[in-house]
Amino acid sequence: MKGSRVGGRLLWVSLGAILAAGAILLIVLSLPGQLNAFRTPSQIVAADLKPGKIFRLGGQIVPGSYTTEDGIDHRFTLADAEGGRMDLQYRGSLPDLFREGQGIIATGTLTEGGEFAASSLLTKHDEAYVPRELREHGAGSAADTAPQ
Amino acid sequence: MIAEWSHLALTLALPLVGLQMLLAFLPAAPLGLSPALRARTVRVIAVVGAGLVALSFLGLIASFVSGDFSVKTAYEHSHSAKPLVYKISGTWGNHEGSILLWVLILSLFGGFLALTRVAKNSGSDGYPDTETGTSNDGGNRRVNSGIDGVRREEVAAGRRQIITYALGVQALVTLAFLGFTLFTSNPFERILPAPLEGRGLNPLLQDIGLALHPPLLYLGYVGFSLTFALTVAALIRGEADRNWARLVRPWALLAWTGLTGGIALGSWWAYYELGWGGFWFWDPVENLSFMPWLTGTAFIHSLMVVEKTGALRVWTLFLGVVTFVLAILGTFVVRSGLLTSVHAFAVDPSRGVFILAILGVTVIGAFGLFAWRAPQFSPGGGFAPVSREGALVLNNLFLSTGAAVVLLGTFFPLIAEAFGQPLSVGKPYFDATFLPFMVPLIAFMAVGPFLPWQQWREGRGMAKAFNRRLLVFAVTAVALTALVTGLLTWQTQPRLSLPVVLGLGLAGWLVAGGAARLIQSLRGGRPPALSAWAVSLAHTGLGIAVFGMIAGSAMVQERTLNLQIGESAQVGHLTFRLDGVREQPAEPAAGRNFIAAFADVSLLTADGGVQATLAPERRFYPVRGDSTTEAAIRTTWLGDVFLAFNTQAPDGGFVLTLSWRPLIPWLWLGATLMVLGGLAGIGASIRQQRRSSRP
Repeated sequence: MKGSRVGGRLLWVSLGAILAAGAILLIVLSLPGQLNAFRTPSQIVAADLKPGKIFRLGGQIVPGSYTTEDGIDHRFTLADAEGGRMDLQYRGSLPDLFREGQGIIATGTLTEGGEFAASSLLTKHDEAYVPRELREHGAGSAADTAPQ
Repeated sequence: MIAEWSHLALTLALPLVGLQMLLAFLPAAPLGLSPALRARTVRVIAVVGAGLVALSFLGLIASFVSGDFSVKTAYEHSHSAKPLVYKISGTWGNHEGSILLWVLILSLFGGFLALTRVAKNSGSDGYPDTETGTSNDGGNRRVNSGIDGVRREEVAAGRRQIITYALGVQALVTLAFLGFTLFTSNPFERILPAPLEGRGLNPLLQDIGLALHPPLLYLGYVGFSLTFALTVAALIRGEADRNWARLVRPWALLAWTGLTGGIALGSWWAYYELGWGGFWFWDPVENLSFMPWLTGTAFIHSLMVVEKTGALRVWTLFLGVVTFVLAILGTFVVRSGLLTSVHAFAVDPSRGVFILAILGVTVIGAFGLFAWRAPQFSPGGGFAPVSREGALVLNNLFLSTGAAVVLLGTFFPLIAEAFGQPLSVGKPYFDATFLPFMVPLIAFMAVGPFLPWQQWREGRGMAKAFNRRLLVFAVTAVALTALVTGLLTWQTQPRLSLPVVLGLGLAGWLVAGGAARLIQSLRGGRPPALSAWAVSLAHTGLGIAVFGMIAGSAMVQERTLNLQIGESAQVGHLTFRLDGVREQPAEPAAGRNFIAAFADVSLLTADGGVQATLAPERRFYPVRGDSTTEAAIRTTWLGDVFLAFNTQAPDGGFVLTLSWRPLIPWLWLGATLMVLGGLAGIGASIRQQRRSSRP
């Protein structure tokens, strides 16, 4: 009786260890494919990236750059403080707070044509909020670098 | 003046709470206080302190409602042309107000603990305060009843010590957040000269779901502060027995119920207000509320084991600490903007540093205490693999592994950035690493409540009955899944795949198990006990919610289209026609602060008749220049027709998102049942507590 109880505890501890090992295995298997690097337009120009790799692009929507024909296919340009620029295309419905002059983070890939095809757009929730990566890269003031 | 009085009340609360903490921990004898008197003083201070904070919070609400825009918080987040309910909810729809709400709930929990019958009963020498004057003979009888009386006094003295320590820990936490409020986020700051009009509340936040979401979420977050306080008290005292578990359980259930309701409301709000139609995005802020929910769920289950068998004590204490640490972590990250999130708020670095300090002290202090005291707890004895407690250990293992996986995914971007590589972790990671632990959890969850406590008695009868039960569950699960998929196939054109059907089967298995728990307790011919309702509602609720989660994410049919007026479109089995678009200007007299544009859409039957009309809306808020999407949702038992009006395109067409979201209402129904289950559990554990403290 006593023995079976102690054995029971051993069983639980080993089960916990197996679960932890399983968790680590799942994480190791799934993480590499899921990590999306964050880049600014200047960094893309510098890095000479290959199309097809998913990453996140942050910057400020250049005022006057937004165009759409049918309200479903959207095109606009993101700029950062270092003067880098990148043209984006996005298909779908825009977030409520999408506005020219605003900082956003887009997730997607580079196309063969050298544009960024976004699959999702992240805008702010609170009007005073700037995504941290954007703040660090100074894109909050990108309006200053907008074209003449 | 209201703001000054409120500020004064809040400032007065600070030394009072400090005194509460000191009294609770300093040795009583040198102060000339008997333990009973000390305990009573601490309780009185806890109640008065909570009253002061409550007054100050009411004062802030009054500033918002009366439109006193000389108060900076009210100026920045309120506006006179706003409905009353949003003036009130605007009080906590901003940083300063929400932190004050946090402090309010913290001190209220302390005050309520001090006012409970258990706390009062342990205040004097073992019998209720209220009875000492009036029914002396009752007290005498108990004292004279020999060993029982002595035992009862020991229990009462132990409980008194636990409650006094817990009120001390609660005071310490309150002190930290009260200081945070007063020194970095004073909600009563004035601006001179006073502006005539406020800037208005973010329109996304002007919504009933979101008005209630923060208070409920905080009830959960902060509710776990009291279970944390009771856990630390047990660590200090060096004992966590059955009575301790009974004392903690109602509070843990209350916090869990609040957190469940808060998360569900937030998810519901995102679903209908953001217009994306999704209900969970694995966003850092969502994860941060989900992690304490996972460990808190593990905590309420391991408390049962402590109460019934005395095992798992150290693990339970660990969960009690971890859950609150995760709750503070959530507050820190949300308030500091450390992680990039759709829900993130504006940031002030000094605030982040302050909460980081609170977090650091809590983590080091609590885990230090845990590391020091835990080895002194005698091991509670093991148990048989196949037993109720065995099932509960499994539950704990799966839940805490799940929480660990979510924690890693949420903070991995920060770790990666420390190594100079900014990265983000998305939904596919969480789907791949978290869901595998939930599948066995749900599978065991259905049968766990039917296993006997302690030892699986080796008799053919028991095994036979258990196997028969498994068979009934399996048959019910298959029947439920067949019924649901059959109805969906008959009425709609569902996107079914093998994993989806298996997932629905798992949900059906859990619903069968949850319902069986109630049916089993009906057999005696008497109405089911509250505890049976609690288990049954919570488990069945989760099962029903899982139906909604699976269908609402894997079976959605959606199209974003540009439609001319009069044009029709097909989505799945549904046919829509855009009949027209109309605009409604703002009417200041009616208290409306937005201009609305509606798209009138008809849902057509197969023969071209109109089955229903929907009017998704776009709102424009002139005060702030924002616009929001108000989705039109037609709810049926089988799912939601979900329409969002996005914009008018330059080519003259109107852009609409048309979707069919099967079984989504089941998610909200299931969450409601879980909350009801939590409430039944609170009732059951209070009843249990009363019964055990009676002679």
